[in-house]
Amino acid sequence: MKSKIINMADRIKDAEDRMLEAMFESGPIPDAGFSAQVTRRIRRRVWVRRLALPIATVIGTSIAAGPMVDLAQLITSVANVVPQELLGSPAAWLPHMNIVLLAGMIAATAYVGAQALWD
Amino acid sequence: MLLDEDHVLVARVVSSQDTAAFGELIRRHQSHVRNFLRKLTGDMSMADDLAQDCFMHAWDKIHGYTGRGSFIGWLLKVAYTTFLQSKRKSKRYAEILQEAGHVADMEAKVYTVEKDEVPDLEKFLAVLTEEERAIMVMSYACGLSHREISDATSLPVGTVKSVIFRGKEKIRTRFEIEDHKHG
Repeated sequence: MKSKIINMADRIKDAEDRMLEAMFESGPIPDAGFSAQVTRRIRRRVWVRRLALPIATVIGTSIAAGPMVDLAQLITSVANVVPQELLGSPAAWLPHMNIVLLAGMIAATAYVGAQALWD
Repeated sequence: MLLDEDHVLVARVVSSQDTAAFGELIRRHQSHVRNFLRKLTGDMSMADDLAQDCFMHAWDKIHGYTGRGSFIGWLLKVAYTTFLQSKRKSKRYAEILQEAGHVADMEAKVYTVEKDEVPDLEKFLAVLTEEERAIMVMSYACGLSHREISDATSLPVGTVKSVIFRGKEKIRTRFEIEDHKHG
């Protein structure tokens, strides 16, 4: 009840209020391409955001791929030098480690990229 | 009806990032937002730049619109925040404000306004502080309720009312408005 009274009080306007309203009143501003311009900017931003993650992933992967392959080869060569009995498990699969790593990275990139595009 | 349609459009934007729906919201409300910012800054091109930024921010923050209150009220809140942020950053705005200060100084003399006369808005706005100007524009130009202004400015409703009262008092004193109680 009280809030209704307050709301009514909000709406009661005196001559001064009406004069101020008349003074502040101005005709509608024509759109004149404004909304189209903003919508274009928003669409561009949406596309940039959609593409940012896949592109960053691809660039990051391409930068990291070289050192990762080198690292994998180094591990393989070290593993080959270490005597079999110290390793505890057969090291026969290790020469293929770089291929496995590369395939894993490509699969991860494809998955993240596809998910970003899907979103 | 229009409010319901706004809510439907907002739902489309939130659920599927529908840029066409957001474009429709811009078309509906651009006039109010640009008008508000033009009166606040006194500079048309700056106001339009700010209005663009405001809609960009609105796009980013639309998930935060809960549907409580009108969409235009929320949009004006974003516009006011955009305005305050740009004021902090922009040197250009500082220059415009400085000019406005000079205008206010020049307008320091008392005017007499006859009851049927509609005086120049710029003169009125120049005697108000920035906060008073924003609240008066929201109230008298955009037709927002005290509650909506309170939401938009993050001020208590009582403060909004007293700011409006103070603004009117300033205008009345400075311009010696006649017959305002007997319209």
